[in-house]
Amino acid sequence: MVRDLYLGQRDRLIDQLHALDPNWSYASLGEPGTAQGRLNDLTDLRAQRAAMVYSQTGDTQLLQVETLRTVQRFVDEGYALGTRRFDDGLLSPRLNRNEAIGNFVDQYARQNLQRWFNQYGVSTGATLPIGVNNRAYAADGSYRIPDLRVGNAAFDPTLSLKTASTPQVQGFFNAKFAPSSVTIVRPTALGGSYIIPRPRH
Amino acid sequence: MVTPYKLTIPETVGAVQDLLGTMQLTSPDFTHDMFPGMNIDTTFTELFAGLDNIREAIGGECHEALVAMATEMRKRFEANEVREGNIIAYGMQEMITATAKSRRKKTN
Repeated sequence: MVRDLYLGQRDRLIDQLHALDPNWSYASLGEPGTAQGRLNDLTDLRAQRAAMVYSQTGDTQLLQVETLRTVQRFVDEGYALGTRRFDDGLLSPRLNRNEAIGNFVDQYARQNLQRWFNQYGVSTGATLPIGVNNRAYAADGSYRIPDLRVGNAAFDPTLSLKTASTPQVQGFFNAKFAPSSVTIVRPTALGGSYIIPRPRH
Repeated sequence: MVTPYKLTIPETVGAVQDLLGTMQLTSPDFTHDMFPGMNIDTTFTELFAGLDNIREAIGGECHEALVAMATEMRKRFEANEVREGNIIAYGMQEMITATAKSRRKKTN
């Protein structure tokens, strides 16, 4: 049953990728033998589809969806690894445990997102629609540095609870790329992520 | 099959810091199932190329020291000495932060 679901979704994605690019070919060494392998296969195909739609049309909507899925995974992994390694004494001692783990989560999420975009041929940069850790300027010349920006959406991996009145979030909304939302990406173990829509004035 | 891994070379001080932080969580193998082909060789290739990219920002002396530390760090990870390698990675992060800050002050 699960295998049938996988095959159905995989074939649908392959058809969509072929429709977008008739020269695209599905590189496969065969059907994955594990549930994780099948999940990775579908995740990869969805990312390829999102990157292809973006490269052909400039539309970032699908990429925003896949990015959220991916950044959540990296935040959860970074939090689990950071917590375990800190408590096992495998990291340099720090004064503040939470701050240290929070820094690791940020760095791990940004690094792997950069790898992920690179893997799918999506360019990033301060002047491009996709940015990882780039300055985002406001009209008055001040700037904030969102960890991640995809089209008109900002993403903030963090351990903290933030709201629309948090200065950093206000700074994102004031930036010239005028995000329609800021997604606070928190570890699932701490309650998970939520979206702050752009305030109405 | 998942799309093969492409080297991701850090181009800024912040990107090198992110790589060093990530290395402390994924040492000593540096593998990830979303990035097949990523390993200790690709990771250190990225690190050394990243250090070259930020040489101007941190200065030749600091660059030389960081290259030596990275070489020692790799030896530690190859010997499965995770904590010792991670301590070196953190030391590199602190050195980069301190050097970049002091060079910015001098410039201003």
